[in-house]
Amino acid sequence: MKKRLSIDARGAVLEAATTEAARRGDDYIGSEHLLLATLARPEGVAAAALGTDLAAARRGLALLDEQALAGLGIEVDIARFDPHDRPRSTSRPRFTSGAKHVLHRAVIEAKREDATVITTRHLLLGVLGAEPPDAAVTLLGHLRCDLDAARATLAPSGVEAE
Amino acid sequence: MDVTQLDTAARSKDPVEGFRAVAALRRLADQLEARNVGLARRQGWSWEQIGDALGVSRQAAHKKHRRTW
Repeated sequence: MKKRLSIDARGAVLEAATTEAARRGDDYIGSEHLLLATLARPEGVAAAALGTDLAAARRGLALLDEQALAGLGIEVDIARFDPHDRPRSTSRPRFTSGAKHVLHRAVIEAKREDATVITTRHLLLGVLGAEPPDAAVTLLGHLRCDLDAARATLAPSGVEAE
Repeated sequence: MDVTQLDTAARSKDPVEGFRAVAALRRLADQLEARNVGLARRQGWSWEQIGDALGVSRQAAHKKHRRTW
């Protein structure tokens, strides 16, 4: 039997989500940042399951913003704004309830598998458990990701390494 | 009206789109504000002058931006 050494990915994913939020200038952590964070993980499990990558997801999020503003007749190149140009907050960014639900679902997924640690795969399953109008689900739709196929890929039997 | 415009007009009825625009505008407004407070401070503006330009009190402007500048 192949012995697998899994470490809890929560700390690293939350750190990456915080980085992704700061990179955009968002002062909260939402499910969309958690999605980007799973794509940022070196295991590549999220990119493989979703058929996209971090760069495409980041661009997609900016494009959604630009489309929403274009709907109001506002043409703006988001990339021209510097996310560091904003009042610094002393407190850590708060989690949206959507983000809290993702973490909760990740724990449930791990428990269901009798896993001892929460992996990136569990966290991505947590993201995929969300329903519209969740921000991560909106982004996945924009990226034309096949969510059912991703869930099938991420099922325990379909994954060799995490 | 071309296809893109039709698409945009249809989407504008969608609150997902509307809220996204609100959040993006807030974020961009915050970034624009911080950038210009920085410019103003470097050009010697007082916090009172900055507050007046933003329509807030000197204290409010200072409190919001003192950590940045």
